[in-house]
Amino acid sequence: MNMLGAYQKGTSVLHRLSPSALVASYLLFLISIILLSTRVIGIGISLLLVILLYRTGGIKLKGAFKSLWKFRVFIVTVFLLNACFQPSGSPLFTWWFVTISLDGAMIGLRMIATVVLVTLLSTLLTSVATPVAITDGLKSLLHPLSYLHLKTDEVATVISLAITMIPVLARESRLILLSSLSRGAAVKDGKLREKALSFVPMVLPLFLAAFRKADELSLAMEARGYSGERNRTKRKSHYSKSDACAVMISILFSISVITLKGVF
Amino acid sequence: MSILKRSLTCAVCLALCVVLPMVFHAIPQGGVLFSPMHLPVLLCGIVSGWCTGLLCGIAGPLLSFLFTGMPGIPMLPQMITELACYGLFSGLMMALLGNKKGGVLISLLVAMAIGRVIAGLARAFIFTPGAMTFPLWIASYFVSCLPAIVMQLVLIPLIYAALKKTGFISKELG
Repeated sequence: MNMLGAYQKGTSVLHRLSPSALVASYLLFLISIILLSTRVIGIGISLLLVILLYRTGGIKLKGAFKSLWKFRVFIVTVFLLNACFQPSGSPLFTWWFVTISLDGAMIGLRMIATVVLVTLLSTLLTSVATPVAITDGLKSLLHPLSYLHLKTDEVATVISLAITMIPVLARESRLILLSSLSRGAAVKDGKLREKALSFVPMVLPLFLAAFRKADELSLAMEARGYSGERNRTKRKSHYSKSDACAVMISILFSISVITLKGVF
Repeated sequence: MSILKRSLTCAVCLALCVVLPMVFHAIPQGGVLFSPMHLPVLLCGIVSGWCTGLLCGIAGPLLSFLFTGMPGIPMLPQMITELACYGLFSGLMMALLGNKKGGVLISLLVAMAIGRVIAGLARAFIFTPGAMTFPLWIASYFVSCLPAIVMQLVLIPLIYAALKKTGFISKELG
């Protein structure tokens, strides 16, 4: 599973965690970061947490930022569009249809900070765990639902495949959006119908590209004998004290974030 | 359609549930006006059936929240309810109508209507009891997202026809 960074072999504490403990801690930290990213101080705390986790995992943060650099045009575009076109009661500067406001800039900044921090955390997960380990982690977390006769194995496979496809489709969407804009495509300010239809040239190719990828992947998986049926090979998880510690730390962190949400 | 292809269709739609809002949020108010997450969920139900449609409707907003922080926590349960209904009912309607002419459009309209009614009821009785009124329901589920409704009614039959043409969806099954 290549989110933004590929799996890096190592012997750090994070590498040695069981898949379920790793995925559970990841989810808890992720929710905490999203909750914290509403204020500047919260963004700072989240960044410190991410740096600490990278150090614990023995993964270089520089490499993750290098991967993020690929998305610089997209990130800058999101910020500029929000900073310049966000409707606001107190604009700093207005010229023609451009309205620069502090509110817009803050919304853009918060949006970018959340995406960057979440991406960094997801990159860390994929750097310390193999795709199979992440799928196993998801399966064991979803296991209680199997008592309701839900096919949790299939659900976990679908989710892990979706996570794999997110960066691929994000890259594709960025290319389509930029190429459409370079050809003069824009969201028209006319009637609702015109406004809605102006998105068709941007969205249609993205959907078709996504389904083409699904078709190719299904052919490749079928060729390797995967049929999506039950009773596939399962690995046994071994839990240690460090797993319990990791989950406890992430639970405590999440609880403190929720409790002190007003402060951050 | 094989189980594997259904699973992959669902996976692709789930990934689009994360990616599409990112694209639309680049435009101020784009998320509110165009409801980008509705597109892949409705399409998933129509293309691969009610079961994967339901999964996409439940997991899509959750995955998007985990990866981008959108939709926010207060909106998350409401969106899950609404999208789960879209995925479920679009798939059920397609199974009911099969390859009939206009089946996609009818399935879309029925799923969108039932989804909006159930989401409105859920908001009125569970999520924000007492705060939901009939004019507010009309305004938030029909008026403010009219561009989204138009876009979905235009785009989904187009994508469906293109997928049928390319052979991704078998012509006999519809």
